[in-house]
Amino acid sequence: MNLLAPVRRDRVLAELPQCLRKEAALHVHKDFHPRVTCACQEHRTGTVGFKISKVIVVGDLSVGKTCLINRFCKDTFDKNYKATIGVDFEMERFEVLGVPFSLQLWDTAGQERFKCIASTYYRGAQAIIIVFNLNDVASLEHTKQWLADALKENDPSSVLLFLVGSKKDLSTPAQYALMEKDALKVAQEIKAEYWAVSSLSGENVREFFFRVAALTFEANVLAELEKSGARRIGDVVRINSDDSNLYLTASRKKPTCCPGG
Amino acid sequence: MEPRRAVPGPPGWGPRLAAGSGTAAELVYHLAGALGTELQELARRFGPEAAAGLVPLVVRALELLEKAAVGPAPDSLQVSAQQAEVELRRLREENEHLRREARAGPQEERALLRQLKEVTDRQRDELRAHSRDLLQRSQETELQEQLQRLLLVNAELRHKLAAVQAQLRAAQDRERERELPRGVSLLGTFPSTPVMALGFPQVDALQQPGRPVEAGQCGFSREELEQILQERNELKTKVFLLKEELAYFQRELLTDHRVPGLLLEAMKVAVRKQRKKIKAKMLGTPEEADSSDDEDGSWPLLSGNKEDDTPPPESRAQSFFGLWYRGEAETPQAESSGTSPSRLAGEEEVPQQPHPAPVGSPQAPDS
Repeated sequence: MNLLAPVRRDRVLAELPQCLRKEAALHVHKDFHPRVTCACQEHRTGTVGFKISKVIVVGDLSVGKTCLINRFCKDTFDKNYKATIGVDFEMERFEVLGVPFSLQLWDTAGQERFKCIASTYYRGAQAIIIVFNLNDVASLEHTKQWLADALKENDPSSVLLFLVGSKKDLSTPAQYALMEKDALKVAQEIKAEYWAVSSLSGENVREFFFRVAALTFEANVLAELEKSGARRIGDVVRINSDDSNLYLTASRKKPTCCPGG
Repeated sequence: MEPRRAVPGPPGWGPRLAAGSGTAAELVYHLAGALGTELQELARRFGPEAAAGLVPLVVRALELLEKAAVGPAPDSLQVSAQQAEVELRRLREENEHLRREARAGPQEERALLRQLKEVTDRQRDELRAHSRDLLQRSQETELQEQLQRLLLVNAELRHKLAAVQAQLRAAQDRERERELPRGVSLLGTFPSTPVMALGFPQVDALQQPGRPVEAGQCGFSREELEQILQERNELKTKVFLLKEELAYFQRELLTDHRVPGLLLEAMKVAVRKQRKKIKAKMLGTPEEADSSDDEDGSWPLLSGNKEDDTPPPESRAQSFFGLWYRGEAETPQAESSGTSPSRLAGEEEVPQQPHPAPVGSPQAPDS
């Protein structure tokens, strides 16, 4: 019984979306981790029902964080600037390798005065998207500070980083090439995956969020497999005994006939 | 000698015999008389013993002759034959008639039976269709009622959300207005302690954050803003969950996937439970989630930071019973599933996982 509403057909991921630039990518594998693919095929992905990953979007004011989210989630673009007050969030539901998966995209205020409110929402992020304006070098320079602030509330070893240049439509190819060089350097430095997008034209927006969804999903499932793998070692002892083997088969059936208990 | 004597006799009767063929009986009596005379003559001439043996034979023969002669008259026979013939014809006709009737009878009966069966069949089908229709209608109304209820709640929440957003917008506008004369941002962030820009009438109001502020006179404190944001997030979460629920029930209606009332009740309970959990996850409020599934692995990256929330390992057992029962704190199976949590987890979730079906379904919302 599926209690969740069906996922939109254009939010179904059957394969791993590829990175934008190989020199600044979280990983360059062609496919999902074999263990993840295998687990999904065998429906061993752990959490049933609702898998949510928290994603926070940070960056200087008016770089286009809200516009980026709105382009992806609502497919709209508002030219007028409207500052985000504190934080806002959007839910986006996906289906990755047949498994329902949701991203909760937290849009934070870029304005300094809201920073202390927004930062209380950084906690528990699985991915951090740092946005800068491709036409404003200063916003790229500030990304390191944004990252430092976001990592204060999160585990740097497990969080996935994305460095996203916005407003690509406003820069000429020559300007972009220059900016990209710097951005790639920063991305490599902070170990983030680099993307360049335009919320106005929609260029790379979908590809980028699909990549975020796929990589957070992969990390999520791998972490769960790791956890259950650790537990499995302890089980070997029990399985060796015939008695507990019988017991196992019995208890395995039990929940299906009277799951509520 | 006797034969000689006898011979002249018959010629004398010959003509008479021929002539009186009609009265054979008379001839027999005549013959009997003649024979009697002859026998008396014999007895007289040769003694009574001479004819004694002969008499009974002759009498017997004569009796037979008499019987034959006296039998039914030929004309009466003819009449009876005619009668018999008529009777026969009548009987034959009757037979024919009966046979025809017999042949026609069962066919008619069969046709009648068939008709009767058709009628009953039709009525039965109609009855069945009727009851099915009734059942469908009752279920439809039930779902409709739920839909109505959900729509109502949804509208209410939207209304609240809009109100809060309007409030926020107004606050923002006021903020901007206040900022303009001051030029710079208002002390960087919203101060939680009473510190305000110089020489403004709002200062007094803000010096006591707890005190209710007069409308239009000043902005919100940081706590107030945080509260508003929290409320907005909660409402947004509710709207999201209600939308999901609505989409779910809409899909149920559209796919005509009927659910018996009892199961529907169970589903409602499950939906409510799940909603609570998702809400907790979305808002990051562990107090609602920690008793159930916060540790079932949905936040693997997060768990490192949330060690204080980590529930005891037994709570994992709840995740084995799937979507429906994850929320139940007390599961009698806890110990049995504890024997092999990972194995159970792997296998028990299988029935929960086949989600791909709805993906392709044309009722996907917003698609």
